Amino acid sequence: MSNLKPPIFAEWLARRAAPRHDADFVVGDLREAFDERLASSGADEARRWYWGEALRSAAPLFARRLTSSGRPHHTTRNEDPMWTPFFGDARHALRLAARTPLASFAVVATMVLGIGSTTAVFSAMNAIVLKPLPFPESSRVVQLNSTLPDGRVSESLAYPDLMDFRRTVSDFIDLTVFQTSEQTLQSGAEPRLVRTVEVDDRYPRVFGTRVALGRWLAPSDLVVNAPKVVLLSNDFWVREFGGDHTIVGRTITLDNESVQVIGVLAAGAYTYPVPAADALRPLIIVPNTPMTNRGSLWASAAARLRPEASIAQAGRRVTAAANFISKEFPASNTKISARITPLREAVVGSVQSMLKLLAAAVAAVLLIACVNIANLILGRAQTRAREFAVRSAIGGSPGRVRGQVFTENLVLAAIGGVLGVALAPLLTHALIAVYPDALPRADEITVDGRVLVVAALATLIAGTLSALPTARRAGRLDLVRDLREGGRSGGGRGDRRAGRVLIVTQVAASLALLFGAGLLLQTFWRLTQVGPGFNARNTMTFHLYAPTARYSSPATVTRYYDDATNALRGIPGVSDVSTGTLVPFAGGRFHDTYIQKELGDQGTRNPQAAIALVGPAYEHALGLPVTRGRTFAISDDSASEPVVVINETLAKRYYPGVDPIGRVVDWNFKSWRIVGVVAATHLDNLWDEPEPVLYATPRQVPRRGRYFIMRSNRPANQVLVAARAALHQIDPTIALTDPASMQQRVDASLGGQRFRAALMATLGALALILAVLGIYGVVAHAVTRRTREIGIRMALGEAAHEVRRRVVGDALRVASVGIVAGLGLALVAGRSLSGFLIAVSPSDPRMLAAAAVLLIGVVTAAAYGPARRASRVDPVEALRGE
Amino acid sequence: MPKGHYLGEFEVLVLAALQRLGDDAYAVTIKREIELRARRSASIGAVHAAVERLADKGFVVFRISDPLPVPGGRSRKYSKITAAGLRALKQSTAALGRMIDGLELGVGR
Repeated sequence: MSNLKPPIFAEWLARRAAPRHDADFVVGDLREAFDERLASSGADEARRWYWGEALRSAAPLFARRLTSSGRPHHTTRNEDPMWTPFFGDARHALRLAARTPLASFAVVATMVLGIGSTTAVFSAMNAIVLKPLPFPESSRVVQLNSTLPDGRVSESLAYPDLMDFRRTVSDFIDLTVFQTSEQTLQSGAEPRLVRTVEVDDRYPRVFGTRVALGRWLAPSDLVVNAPKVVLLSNDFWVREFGGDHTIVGRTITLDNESVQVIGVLAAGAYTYPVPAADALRPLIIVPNTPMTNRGSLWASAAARLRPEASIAQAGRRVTAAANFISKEFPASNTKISARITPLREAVVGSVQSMLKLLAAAVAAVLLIACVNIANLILGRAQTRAREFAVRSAIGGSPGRVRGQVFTENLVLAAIGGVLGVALAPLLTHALIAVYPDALPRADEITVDGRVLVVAALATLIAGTLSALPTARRAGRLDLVRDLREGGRSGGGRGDRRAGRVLIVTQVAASLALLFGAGLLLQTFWRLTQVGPGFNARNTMTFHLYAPTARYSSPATVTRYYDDATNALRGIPGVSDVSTGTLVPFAGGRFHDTYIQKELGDQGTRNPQAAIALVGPAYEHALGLPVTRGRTFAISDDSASEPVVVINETLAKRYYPGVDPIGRVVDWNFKSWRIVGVVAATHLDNLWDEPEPVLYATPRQVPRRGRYFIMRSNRPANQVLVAARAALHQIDPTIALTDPASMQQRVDASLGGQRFRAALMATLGALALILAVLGIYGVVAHAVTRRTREIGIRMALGEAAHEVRRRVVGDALRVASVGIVAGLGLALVAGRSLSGFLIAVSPSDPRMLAAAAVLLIGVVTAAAYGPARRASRVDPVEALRGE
Repeated sequence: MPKGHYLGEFEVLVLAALQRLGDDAYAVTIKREIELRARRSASIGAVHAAVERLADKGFVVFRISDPLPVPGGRSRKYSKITAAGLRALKQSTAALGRMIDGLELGVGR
């Protein structure tokens, strides 16, 4: 730069003509060009040039000055207009975070919890509900269902009907028929249960099943009396046979029969309806048996749609075909129809509502977490009012200052988000562990790209949302006040309003969550107060099955169960042992219709009941009260008169006001005399009304599979060990399956309620803790802000307890708005929970009141700490501090 | 394009200069570029006023440089053409081209 300066007056002219914000740049540019002239053409020429240039510039600049708004265009001071300020702010954010480690830790920790739980729940939803089932083009596979005359939907259909669908419904590429069965593998010391699906040869065309070793089923494997064959799943092959490649062609023993292994499925091959079946066996259709009756609904089926076919259209065609069949075969198929369900819905349908509930609850917690973070950083921002003011004063635009606030919060949110995503798999594992049933598709839950995107979005939204109040405040600076006071007296009316909004939001959201948790807890508690109808204590149960290959005649089956019963009775401490095809809460139930002799055949109005085939002393073993007559004795056998026992529900429904003892019913091609009545029991759960049950005895209706019920004063697991040993003596090839005490079965039936109640209670408690922290923060901040006012009041004679009461009262007044809003929100929550509630009103006023009272208590407690601090203000100190 | 967003002749020259100069466009270089290529004079003030007008229309954004590394060094106000500016420049020159296409203007090259 030369020492020679441009003409002063010309420079003054140019500066005055230019818009104020542009003047420095215009003058600078002129100077730069002047210096160039000076170097090339000398001083005189440069001066002359400068005058000319300044004069020619004055007119357009002045015109511009008159027309422009006078506000500078947005400019950035650094190289990259977008990113550098972000990174600058990010660096600043980290420095700032390090300066207030406690507050930063609180923000990050809250974020970790919020994002972690959101990510965990979404990854579960993603795997279970959103992702297609893990086999090729699974979205085109549907399950077939039958709809029964009473409106129920069943997964079982009649085989001839299915063959008609396969032939006539053109939307299907193929249709496969299958059923599940359990078989016992005899190899090594202990027999083991093998989860098997019996399938036809079309199965791979629907489920894309591939074979890794050997071959798939051939039509010749499916004919009656074909050599017995089995395909092993990859897992089962590795687990039981150590992945031995010579397995194909060898024989194994299943249910005491020799079966040849013809192949091993590819790793990860999808099996349905058992997700990870151990083995596939041929489904052999025996002609002229119930298997081929139209009225007999036993087969499961799935079909693959053609690429061009829609599910709706295929569904209409199936229903039309079913309606045609019921016209053709009215005797068996009247009022029986069929429909299709997308396979994914069939697999995960029951879990969907639970996951939605979970997602809503987690979203509420995330909202409360955001509010808490907003609260924290707003509090911190108030002490930084001077910093923002300085930034503004040296040219930071309101947008720029706001941007800084967002960046700062997003940096902390991002740290929390990353840690939250890392935490998510742990939470998912916990969810799977505490989920009452086997969570379908649980093995598919992973953190994939979609989960990461959602986690990032949640982080971004949470980070932005929680920065909003502070950013609004930072954008509305009162420079003079903020510079002078430097944040000593904190914020103004806007801050107080923000604090109030935070309290109201937290109180409202917590109230809704607590109310929901309360309703679910009440449902659970009510159910635990319901008696199952029998004595569930000190009772061990398990299942046995006597296979045909070993016990060919009913007499040998009866002898096996008699021997087993006697052996189990000999175990010390065991008081009663009996058997039954039906054990409450364990399944094994089937329904049938029968005819009341005195009324005659009433066709479709014949009574229907659950059928239970139970041995002598069943009522003792189960602790089931006998209300009238007698139960079964050893003497009730195939040679004696057929007798049945009914339960109270059946007696009340079909013999109102009359004594059922001695009445006769026709069932299973025989006439049976009712000899006794027992108490009604719940069969599946504690909330449905007990249903009618018709008890017969296996000596008169032989059955191969039965549950054993053992009553004992010894611990259940000791009884089980002794039972295993005793049964091994009698027949070591029969596997003991499904062992559980009756108490465990009853408890397991409440698993869904327990899970929901525990989950909501946990989230409610979390919300409450967050709310306490948040409200404490707001009130504490308000007290700090009003130290001077409190000091003056105390100097004027206000007592400490009056100060405390006023501080707590202020908090409660604000919270009351939140409680009113929360009551509305709670009613909405209650309504959305109504499907999960049993004998509890979704708008239960006592529960609403309890939740409101609890929150009032919590707000009082949260405000009391700061209130106590306020009451200890030393008036002299407070006034001097100002 | 709204009516107010038509480009004047000088504005076309300025936008074209910006496009040529890339990251090195400030009033001094813009003026030099116009004088060199268009062979018409442009005052620094006229350039400043033009880029401000263009920024009003969203055709130009500004960037203030760090101070030059000399004692008392000043900051420069760099201009950059936006995507909308480039579009407007293309439309203006295309319109001009279509208007004069085939005309005998009697100007030999």
